[in-house]
Amino acid sequence: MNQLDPELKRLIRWSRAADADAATEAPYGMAVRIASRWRAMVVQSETEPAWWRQFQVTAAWLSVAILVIGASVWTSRLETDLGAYTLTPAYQLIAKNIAP
Amino acid sequence: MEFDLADCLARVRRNDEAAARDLVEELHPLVIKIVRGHLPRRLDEEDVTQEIFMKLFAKLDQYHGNVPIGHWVSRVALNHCYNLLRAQRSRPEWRMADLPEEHAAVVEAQATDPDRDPHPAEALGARELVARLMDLLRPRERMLIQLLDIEERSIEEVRKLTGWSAVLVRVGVHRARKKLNSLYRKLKSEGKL
Repeated sequence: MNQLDPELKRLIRWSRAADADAATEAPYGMAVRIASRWRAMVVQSETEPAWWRQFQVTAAWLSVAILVIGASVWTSRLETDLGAYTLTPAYQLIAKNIAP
Repeated sequence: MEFDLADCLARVRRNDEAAARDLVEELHPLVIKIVRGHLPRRLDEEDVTQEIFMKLFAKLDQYHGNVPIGHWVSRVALNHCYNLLRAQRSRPEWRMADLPEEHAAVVEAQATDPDRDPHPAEALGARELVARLMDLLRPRERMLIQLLDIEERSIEEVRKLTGWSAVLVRVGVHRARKKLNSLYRKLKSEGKL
């Protein structure tokens, strides 16, 4: 494991001196803001029953699954339809001129 | 009156808002030091600190008192900072020409008289220069330099705090120091510092 350049080490030591003076107490009103925001979240989770949240999550996943399945079925049908009606030029020639 | 952590935690678990306020006041110095140390100054430290506290409250049920609360809080805060650093896909590039002259003066001052303590302005200049150099490191490298070289923690401590393996920590810091050294030498050789 290599070491830092001695000059960089000294710069880091000096930079620590700047950080040592910085205030670390919570700014006025910050603790109140955080606590009330947290309390609001707690109240919301208390008023919303667990089964309802579970139901919302399940319903969301179910909707996504239905959309994906629906899209894939629609795409595959579209491809099948195209196959039935798209005639190659050679087949068209035979159908019109040789075996009408 | 001395702060009773166990009692405060118990009250927070009973959804006591006043206890939550006390807990924020008590843990704020620890959290803000981590935020200041690990994130670039351009990010709003108050917003980040709030997010960390919300995360701490949400995860409080996961804290069973097996480790000191400070250790658990540090781990959550560090993890949050690391994720923020990773989410910043593009780190601001700065050109060597952007370096102010004060940086060169700080480098010269610490080279001519290495043992003395810095003046407040020199300390600020050194901090800004170190921060700008750190901005050029990858999130993991930056975090390792901060923990091992700036905060002078041991590899074992870093391993416990970050959850990374000792090998990953050693290899990561080796690369980070190499990168930082070469960047610094390049600046010096170009006469920018």
